[in-house]
Amino acid sequence: MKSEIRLFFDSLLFSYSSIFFTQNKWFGSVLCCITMLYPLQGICGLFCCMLVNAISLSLSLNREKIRSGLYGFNAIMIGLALGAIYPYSETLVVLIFALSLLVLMLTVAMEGFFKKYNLPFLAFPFLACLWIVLLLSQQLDAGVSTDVLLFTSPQYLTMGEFSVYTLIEKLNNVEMPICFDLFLKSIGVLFFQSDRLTGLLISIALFCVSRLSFCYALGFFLSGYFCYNFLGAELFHIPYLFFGFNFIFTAIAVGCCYLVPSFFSILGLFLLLPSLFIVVFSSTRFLSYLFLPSFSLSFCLVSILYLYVLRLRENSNSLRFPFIIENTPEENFYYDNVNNKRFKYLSYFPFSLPFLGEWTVKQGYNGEYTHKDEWRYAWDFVVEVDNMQFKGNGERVEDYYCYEKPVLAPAAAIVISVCNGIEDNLVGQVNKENNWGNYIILKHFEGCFSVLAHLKIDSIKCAPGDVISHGQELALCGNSGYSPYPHLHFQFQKSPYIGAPTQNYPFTYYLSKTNNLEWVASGVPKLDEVVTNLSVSNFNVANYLFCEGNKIDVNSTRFGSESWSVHSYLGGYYLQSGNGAKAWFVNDSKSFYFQRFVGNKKCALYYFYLSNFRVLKSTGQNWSVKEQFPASNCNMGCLKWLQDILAPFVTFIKFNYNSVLPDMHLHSENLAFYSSFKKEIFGRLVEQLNFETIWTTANNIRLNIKERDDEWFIKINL
Amino acid sequence: MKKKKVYERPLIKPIVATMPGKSGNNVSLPLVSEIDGHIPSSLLKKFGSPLFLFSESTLINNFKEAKNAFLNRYPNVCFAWSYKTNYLDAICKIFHEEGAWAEVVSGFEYKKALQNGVRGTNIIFNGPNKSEADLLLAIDNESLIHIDNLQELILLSHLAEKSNKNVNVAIRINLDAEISPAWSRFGFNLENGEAWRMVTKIIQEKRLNLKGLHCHIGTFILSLNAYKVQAKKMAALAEKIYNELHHSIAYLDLGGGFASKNTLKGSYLSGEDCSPSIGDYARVITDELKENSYIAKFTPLLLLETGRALVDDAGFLLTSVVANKRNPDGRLNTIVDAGVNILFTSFWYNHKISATESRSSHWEDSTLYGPLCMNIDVLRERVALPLLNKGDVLIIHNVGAYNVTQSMQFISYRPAVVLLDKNCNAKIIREADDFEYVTCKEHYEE
Repeated sequence: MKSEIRLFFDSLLFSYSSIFFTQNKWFGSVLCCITMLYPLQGICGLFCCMLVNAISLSLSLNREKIRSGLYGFNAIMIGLALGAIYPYSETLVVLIFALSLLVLMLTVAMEGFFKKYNLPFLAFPFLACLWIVLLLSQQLDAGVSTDVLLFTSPQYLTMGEFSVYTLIEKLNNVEMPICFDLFLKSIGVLFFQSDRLTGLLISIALFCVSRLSFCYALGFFLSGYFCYNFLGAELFHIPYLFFGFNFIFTAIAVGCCYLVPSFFSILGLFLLLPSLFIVVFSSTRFLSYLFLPSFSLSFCLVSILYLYVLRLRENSNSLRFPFIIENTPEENFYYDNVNNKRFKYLSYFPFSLPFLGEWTVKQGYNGEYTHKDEWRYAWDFVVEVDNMQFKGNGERVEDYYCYEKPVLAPAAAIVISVCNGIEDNLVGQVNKENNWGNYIILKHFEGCFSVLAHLKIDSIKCAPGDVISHGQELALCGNSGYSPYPHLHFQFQKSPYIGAPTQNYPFTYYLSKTNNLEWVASGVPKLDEVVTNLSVSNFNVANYLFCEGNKIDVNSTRFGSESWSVHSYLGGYYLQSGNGAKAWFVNDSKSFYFQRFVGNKKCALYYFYLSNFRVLKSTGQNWSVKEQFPASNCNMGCLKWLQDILAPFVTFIKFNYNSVLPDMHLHSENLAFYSSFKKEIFGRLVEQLNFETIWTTANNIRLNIKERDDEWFIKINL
Repeated sequence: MKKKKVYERPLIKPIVATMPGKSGNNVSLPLVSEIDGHIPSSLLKKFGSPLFLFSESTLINNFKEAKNAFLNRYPNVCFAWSYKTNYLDAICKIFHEEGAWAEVVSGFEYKKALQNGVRGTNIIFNGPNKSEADLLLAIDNESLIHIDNLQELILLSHLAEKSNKNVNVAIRINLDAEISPAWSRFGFNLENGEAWRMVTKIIQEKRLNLKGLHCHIGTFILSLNAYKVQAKKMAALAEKIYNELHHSIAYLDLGGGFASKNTLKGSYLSGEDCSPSIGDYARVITDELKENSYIAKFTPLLLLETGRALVDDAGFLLTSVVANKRNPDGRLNTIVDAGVNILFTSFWYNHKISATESRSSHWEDSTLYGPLCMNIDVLRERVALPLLNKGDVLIIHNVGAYNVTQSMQFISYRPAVVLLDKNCNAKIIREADDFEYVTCKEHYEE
């Protein structure tokens, strides 16, 4: 029962905040209060929303969607509209019930329809219902205002002597530039309250919730306004409030909520400007024949059109959709900023390096010797000790460290063709007749082949048609073909023929030794880079932990005892702490890592999230893993709002995660893992936390945070 | 002013009227005038003569080469530095920094490894004689204990029970690797079934956790086939343990014994020509291991305890000529200030000896004697040297293994040990003995 009540309030408040594409209870309640400035409207809105949420619950629609306000926000708008059009009467009550049901059905239907195209349904259900009501009221003609915006006698909130009306009047008489006056009123129009007070209150609340939304809204409105003036159109020729309203919402929706805010999203908005003008004018004109207002139709049409077109792009690097639409545009940005780099490797087929141990790239992409033009995406690998490829005088192929070293399959594959029988060259000589020497061509998947060339004669252990597994030994490195000294030539290509044009494709999950010893999630090894695959995992402790249904007891000196549970939702897994905070994680064969953290940060779970942000299930001396936390998951301090506003242009507050792979040893049941959290402002370290996590097979984890004198014990009950 | 001419010793050489031998008439070897950028004579001036020298860059390169040789062929390899080969802290730390574990055979070495910052879990405790106190120390530090005999097994099991701790152990086995002599005195024999009986026994012990198999087939093994046989037999044992006892072996320790570039006495070819390279050893071992399906599936850790092959050519002994003398039979004797007490390995090897400078193009065969007043003090029976004067410097090569640990204070003091580090600085890592040091442990009651 408690959860039902909670769901009821959550869904109500989230419905209000969803109007501005955010999920914030505080913001929701403020918006709810603002609508109460016009009590009849406000109550109608509130009632509609409650009704719709209650019906959707009884229809067994998805509870999480109900909670998020997905079904409620259109209902609020239609409720407010009804309150504005009709005076209090029985008709109004009947209409509220009828339209609540109608708007819910339309919402669910449109959700289903747009979902197919991966698009939001915006305010379409509300628009449809609004027009229905207006057409109906034309028919009924029961002394109602046919134009929602020309209120005959709006009823203001009155408390004893005090009436909001006087305040509104006072504020309306204040001198201010017409553009700001219009801006405030345009925002107010959202709630059918076209006064400055409503607009001001909403603006302030919006700014507190999301700086970006507010800046986008104001910026785009003003540019629209000045363009409008510049074009010389008469300001009162069309209902100007609709005009402004559409600009504000287009800016928020496609500028920063459904797309990640960036320089390009701003540019995109400006390109939309003319289309928006045209649609506003023409839709208003068109609907005027039916005596209907276009209201937010232009915003909905243009936004959907824009998003749909962007969805159909092949490459979405510059103007990205958020992976998960977070609560605010800021969060969208910070997550995207980090995740785009963090999880990029997941979009690639996992190819590992085709050898064991450490090899050096002696010719990379666009190499100076042979990796040119169509063949530019290729690597030549050698083995070096102390920057030398050979010992002794290097006159014999046997002197070269890489000679006769095994060459492996970078991934599971089918052997397409094999060439053997070409003698290894003497050092310094090349075979110009058979450039590729002895080679193997592998097919990994349709349109992705790899070539291993210059292999040692008679060392090839596979034949065309063989199905080979990842990491299987295929041959030995040699010196055949156009190869003056022993090395391994490796490339990806789109077709199965030797000499075909090469393809740009990265390796994933390898260690790179350039300036530092660092883990690379996916990348193209560069010239002189020393690379190696991750070592065999003996970090199998984590494999057993955090399965669905586990109950986890945590004892921390700082937070006392806390209990966590493991849940799954839509294919993902999360840890939930007692205070409702959720940390989404992935525990795959190669690493344990957290994807996102949602909720109250004052809990042990948050520090577990910070300390074990990514745990590679591998060992190795001095190799480090570096990643960044989404800034919105960390305490950004007093510069937060400035960073929020500047987010599309510059990120100056950074939260870095650094961990060191545990040293190899055989006590895999007791693995110490060191990591740190660093906050940097303009590259200057301002805060650091060092963590020591000890994973054990006895189903428990010990965590020490030195800076906080905090010691933990995490016990997992299976 | 006219520079004073250096004295050149006269030499009378009989004319041999035959065809030149395969090395020609005039035998001369390249002079070595510097080591890692240092002039030998000035090092001796600074640190005294004789002097042990170690080159850090050679140590690091040797280690990296060995590591690559194995890791480029097998994905799960680790080296444990064999302390007894050379346990000077400075030398050990260079290997530990490069990622080597420690392999020790006594409480003394164990404490040294701990002092050098090696984690207890990365220390392998070998050897036929481990005292109760040593074992307790190793149990406390969660080290890997390699069981050599039944008495040790019983003691260890008892101690583990008493201290209420699980102990990670390996069993040391010996096997016929088709070489002679076969080392059968360490551990339990494989062929007669003793090893298998001990494995089953250890697995039944509650407190003992059988993690590994260890075998060390011998020292200075020039036969690659021996390692092939050893790898095959050990892999087969691990597979049998898995199949029959359902127990996974986490590591195979193949010991060491890889030959360095030294030349064994009695060997016709020089070690530089006939010793297999570390890559050759790595190839046969890993090729053989990968043949085994258990190894291919689980890739257990391959541990190597090679000592000599990593350190031998990084060590040099600088010595000065004390006197020249001619035998009644006309043969030349050269006496230097380093004796067999500090060059223990001269009993096994014909060490390569180079001169640092030469005043003429003539070379002469000579017997190289040390300074001890003992007839056995012979460093080389016969070695070609240029014409030397008193005070000239000779370099004895490939002395890094065993000489520092086995050198003995006898008659005089043991020399200093100097490390030439990566930045070309000469740093003293062990001071020469002095009167106080040598006599301080003596007691005499009036």
